[in-house]
Amino acid sequence: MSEKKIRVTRRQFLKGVSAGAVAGAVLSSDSFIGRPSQGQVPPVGEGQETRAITFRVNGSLYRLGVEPRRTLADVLRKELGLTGTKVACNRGECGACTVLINGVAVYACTTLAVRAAGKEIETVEGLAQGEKLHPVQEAFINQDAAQCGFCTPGFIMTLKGFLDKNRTATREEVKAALAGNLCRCGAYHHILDAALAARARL
Amino acid sequence: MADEIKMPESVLAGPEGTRLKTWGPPEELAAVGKSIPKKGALEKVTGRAQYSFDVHLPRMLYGAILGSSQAHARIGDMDIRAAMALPGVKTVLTPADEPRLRWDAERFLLDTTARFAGQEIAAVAAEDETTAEEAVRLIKVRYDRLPVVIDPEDALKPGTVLLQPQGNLWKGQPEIYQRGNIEAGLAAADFTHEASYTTSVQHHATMEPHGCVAAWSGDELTLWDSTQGIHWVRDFMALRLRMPINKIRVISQYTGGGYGSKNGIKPFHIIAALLARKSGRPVKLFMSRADEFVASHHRPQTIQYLKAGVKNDGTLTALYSRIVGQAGPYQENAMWAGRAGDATRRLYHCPHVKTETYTVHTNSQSPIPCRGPGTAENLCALEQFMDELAEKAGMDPLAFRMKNYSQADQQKGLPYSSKGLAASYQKGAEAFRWEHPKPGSLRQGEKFRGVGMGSLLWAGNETEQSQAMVVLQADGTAQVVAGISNIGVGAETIFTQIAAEELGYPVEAVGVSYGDTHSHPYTINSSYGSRTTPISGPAVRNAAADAKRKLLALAASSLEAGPADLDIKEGKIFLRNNPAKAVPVREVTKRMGRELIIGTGRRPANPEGFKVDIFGAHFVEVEVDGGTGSVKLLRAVCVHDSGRWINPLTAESQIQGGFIQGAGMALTEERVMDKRLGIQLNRNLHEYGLPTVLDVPESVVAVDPRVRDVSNNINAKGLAEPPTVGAGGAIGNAIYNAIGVRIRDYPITPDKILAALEGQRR
Repeated sequence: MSEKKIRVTRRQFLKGVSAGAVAGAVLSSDSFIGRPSQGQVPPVGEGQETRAITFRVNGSLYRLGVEPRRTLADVLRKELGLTGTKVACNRGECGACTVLINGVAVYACTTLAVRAAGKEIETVEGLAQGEKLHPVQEAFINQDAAQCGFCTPGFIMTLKGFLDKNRTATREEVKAALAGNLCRCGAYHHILDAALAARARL
Repeated sequence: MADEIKMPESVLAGPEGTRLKTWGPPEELAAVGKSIPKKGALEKVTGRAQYSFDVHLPRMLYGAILGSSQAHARIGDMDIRAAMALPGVKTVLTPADEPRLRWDAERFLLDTTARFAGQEIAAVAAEDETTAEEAVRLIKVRYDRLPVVIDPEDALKPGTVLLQPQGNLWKGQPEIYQRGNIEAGLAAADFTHEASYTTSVQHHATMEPHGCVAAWSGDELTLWDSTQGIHWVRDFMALRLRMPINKIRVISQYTGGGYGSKNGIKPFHIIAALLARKSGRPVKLFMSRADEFVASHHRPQTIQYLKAGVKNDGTLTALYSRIVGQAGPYQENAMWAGRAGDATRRLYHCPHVKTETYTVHTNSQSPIPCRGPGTAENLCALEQFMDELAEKAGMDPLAFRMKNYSQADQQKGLPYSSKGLAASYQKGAEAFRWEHPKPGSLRQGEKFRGVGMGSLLWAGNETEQSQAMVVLQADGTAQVVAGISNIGVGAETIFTQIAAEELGYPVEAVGVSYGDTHSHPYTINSSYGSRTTPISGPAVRNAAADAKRKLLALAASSLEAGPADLDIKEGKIFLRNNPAKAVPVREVTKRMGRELIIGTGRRPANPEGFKVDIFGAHFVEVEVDGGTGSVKLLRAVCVHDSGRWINPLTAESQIQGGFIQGAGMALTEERVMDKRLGIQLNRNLHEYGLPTVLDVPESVVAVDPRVRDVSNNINAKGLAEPPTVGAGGAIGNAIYNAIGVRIRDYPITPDKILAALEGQRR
């Protein structure tokens, strides 16, 4: 099966993008504050030049070098080891990767990490205060709102972001707020029950 | 509970010739029958739960698979130079590698003939996912195309390309079942009726895609897998790789959805292991969402032609079905395309029944069990058909079904271990406030309302071995050790309830561990078929009984009583004839020293002379928008005769979730495939039509008809699949009742509704 190949290298393409790339060495994993990286140093060669970004995740400041093409979901999961944020579709369709950026729910899989520079990110790992759970988390446990649980962090972050700003939301408004999160196990009814139980406690 | 059958003695067989107690209704029990939150829920809501997708090992590589872009082709030259030259690529596997590993008798793991689009033909491992995916794209393949056949009815036509030596009909002939004499049955009828139905492909679309992490250490392999059963994965890996079982360790603490797609292994498991071995590094190989649509396999499409003979009083005299199911090109998994006849054969009483099942090979991925395989497809057709017959007989749909109630299993001629179908009809009608208006009569402007119901049957579990352990700790706590996976339904939680009930411990004192073949000996091969509770639950009860027996033997000496004089309740050991004389369990267990009490238990066989089947009924109200053709599910009542509900909270989750999956199958989910090229065009969740929170009814009420089952010591039948198989028929019937036109092709999408209304207007 033949395809017409577009003869542009990655570097040529990137030069056309104003990314403010920092020239020089790849920043290694110990140049940021916080948890040591569990992995990825980008391979040399075809990788992009990394860019230094600083952001706050769950209250902690991180400074790291990331390639502009990396998604926020991937950087959170790999560089910061925060695997609570899941990637289920990687194209902004299911909401499993939902995190809050400056209080607003976004799909981390379709957010470039560099776009989060200078911002406050909240992931599911940051919700509990030690072992004191957030009301949304407790409600999910008590209402059995998590079946396989893979969609659960995304739902919880969407709900947290929504309820922070909408304490008096109706059931219909809560439903609409959750429309961007898919649950294949079909736990929607218990998820709504949990949302309303949490709303009552906030 | 209604109509109690006596518990067969064999079912209550306990350790060392003892007899377990017959458990009464939930009101009499301490832990079983209680709604308690699941173990592991805390981990899920805090992001601590580690799925195989989350496993990250030092120096780990990422794998990607090249799937054939052609549905039927010979794979010619493969040029991997550009892929190998890509920085970050460490290993490439192709069909040219020696030694050539077989997948099964029909094909090599990486074969040189592709028979469905997506069939694995090469694989790479690289430093990151992006590089791996790019490397796959850089592999140049020469495909010598062969003719493609996708439609099963096309595949049966003469002159079509043959995918198997005996032709495209699996086994060379249809599978025929007969009971009585179908011609005589039809002749005895006052009227006959026939109709043809189609159901479409449904994808599991698990949120966590298929995948695994493979890591070698010497000649030992560790595999973190997203699976429904760690033991089956281990055993199949050992078989395919020709390794001793004790050199393979499979770990799965949390699995992000399975619904039948994640049983045993698929080619990618072996590919991951080989990539890891060849590269000398751990390899994580997970499907992209697009690849997941193929890698997971799917529920097959079916065409069901039904014909019945009926007496004027509504009695069925004959039931015939010709079923066509779309299989893949291989023998493996073909059987799943030929299962859409069980309910036709057995659900309703009928002396003359014949089914002819044509399982047809095509150049599409093979089917695989998908929640309620075969029966979900079957009931979508059969339940609408029953309503058609009821209407022709001038009877209420519920009354028609009661008229054709079967007191015993008609295939084996055995009484049921329990049958709560009548109770389901009655309790469901009550909870739903069932009244059946004339079709099309409830209309307000462009909005049509309607109600529908359907029966459901799901084949109960046959006898099967299972074992478990219960460990008593010195401080009065206990641990259930179960060789199962956690697929999110709460099996591990109900095991603690069962153990607590048998031990007499508070349920908070009982923990459970599972999910690692090294530490958790076999309890079940894989969680499918709605059987983890009825198969493994009784083994857990017996293990707890064994632990209790040993504990009471230890207690007897210090309490100056015989073990038979003692019992345990609420964590206290007491004298039966003087309950006030009690000591906390830990006063006894602390004297164990370093010799733990480990109870082991096996599951007794099913009792002879009974058929185990699972029943229920769904009642649904819909509103159809005549302007847009969209169907809004207003409410549902789902009654499930599954014997004892061990945990009503998690049972409700299963019922609501299963109903939504059945609703998706009925209304929105569909694989769109290019029939010439054999390529799926909608390999993403939105275009595929996965239900969102906006698509579900305001309420799905779960009702327990509370009919006692006698087939095992916990009185439980399965509950996982019945909620899915019951939804489609009831929804189809409700739509007919709303608009007065019957749509027999699933999914019942807006275009079909609009076409039906248009046809009605003309």
